[in-house]
Amino acid sequence: MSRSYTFLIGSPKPSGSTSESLADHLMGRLESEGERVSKVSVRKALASEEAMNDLLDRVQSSDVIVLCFPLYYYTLPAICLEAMTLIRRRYSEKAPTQGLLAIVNQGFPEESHAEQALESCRSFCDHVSIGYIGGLVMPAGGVVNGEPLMKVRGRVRSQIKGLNMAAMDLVNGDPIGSTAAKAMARPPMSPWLYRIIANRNWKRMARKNGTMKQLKDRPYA
Amino acid sequence: MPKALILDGADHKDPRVDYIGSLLEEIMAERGWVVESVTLRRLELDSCRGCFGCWVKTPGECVIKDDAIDLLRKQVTSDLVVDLTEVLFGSPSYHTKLFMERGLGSALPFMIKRKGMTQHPLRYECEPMHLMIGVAREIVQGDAELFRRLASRCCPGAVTEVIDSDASDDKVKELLLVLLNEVGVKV
Ligand SMILES: Cc1cc2nc3c(=O)[nH]c(=O)nc-3n(C[C@H](O)[C@H](O)[C@H](O)COP(=O)(O)O)c2cc1C
Repeated sequence: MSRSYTFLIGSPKPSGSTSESLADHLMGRLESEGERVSKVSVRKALASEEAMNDLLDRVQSSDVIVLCFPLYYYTLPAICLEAMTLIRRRYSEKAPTQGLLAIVNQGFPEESHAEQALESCRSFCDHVSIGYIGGLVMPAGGVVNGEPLMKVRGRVRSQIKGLNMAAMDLVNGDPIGSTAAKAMARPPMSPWLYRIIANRNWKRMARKNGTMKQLKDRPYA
Repeated sequence: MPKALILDGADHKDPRVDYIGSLLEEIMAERGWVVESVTLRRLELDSCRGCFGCWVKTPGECVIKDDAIDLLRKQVTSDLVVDLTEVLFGSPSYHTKLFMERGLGSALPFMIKRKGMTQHPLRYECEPMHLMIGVAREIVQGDAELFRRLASRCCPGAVTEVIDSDASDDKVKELLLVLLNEVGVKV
């Protein structure tokens, strides 16, 4: 029998997040396997009580929660912590959901930056008594920049593979395998090259904004 | 006179956090510090939007104009910042984290490699001393340990501790004196 999945998009960006691109890809794969999927923005849900109730209802009625978020200061963004607190409050008894999968994407190219974020997700699962299905980390998430993965393609070949494998693990009711996690965590390019390109990008954006000379300003000193 | 900023990041009024905050105020004031206490949940604080405007549009300043701006300025010009927060799944409370994220501009956008890991250099040469105190009701050991590791990664150089809400007043005072000493305040 098919299972239902609620994807929580935890990026504070109003639109065009890498979190959503990763979610969309996995949702597509799951749908093509006959699974039922839906998506909610955590940021929008926090804006009104009605929207938050809708999020909580969906979480309650789904078999799997997929929490997709950017790494913010080594852990989940504040808005995700707030949503998790509200979920815990609503389900102080055992949560009816079967499991949670965490998908993190981060700016830095080394996967280990996200260790504590995944531990926090695991702790949340313990607090609300839901199964932790696994955690996927995508380093250097900036290369996606809100585009569909199939459009970015080459650079994220490994992430596409990782998400496709994770979809099959989910469909089979298995925990996320280490092969999927490894493929996901493969940096889209070598860290040194990524740093060079990222630094060039910041300068390019500053030039566009006419702030090149102010980049290192200390407005509060 | 040295300045201390105490940030109460608890998501709801918590008598224990209030007590620890006032005790800190008292200890610091007795030692000649000018102390300002701010309750984050009472401020107008929007979430970071992940736009990186604080790096490339208005370098060092967040583009969202709410109460965070004034507080970020105060934070940079303080000698000591104390975060008082709940421990949520090993992470800080919503309000502490919300404000932390708004301070992204205190780092520079450039990526550098340090100790084998990519990092951003700091914008300000001289960072305030930082004490990060988690206050937890029923301390789940794993969460407390995770909080300490996380806090010291988020604020390198910060002294971090988790205090049990049920600890006696004397014990709390003793612990605060140890922590202040550790962070570099002469007590
Ligand atoms: C406030 C803030 C804090 C961040 N902290 C980290 C961090 O600790 N480690 C990291 O690798 N990237 C960090 N980043 C970068 C984001 O994780 C990265 O840009 C990510 O790709 C954004 O994903 P999204 O498009 O889904 O929001 C941070 C970004 C912001 C705005």
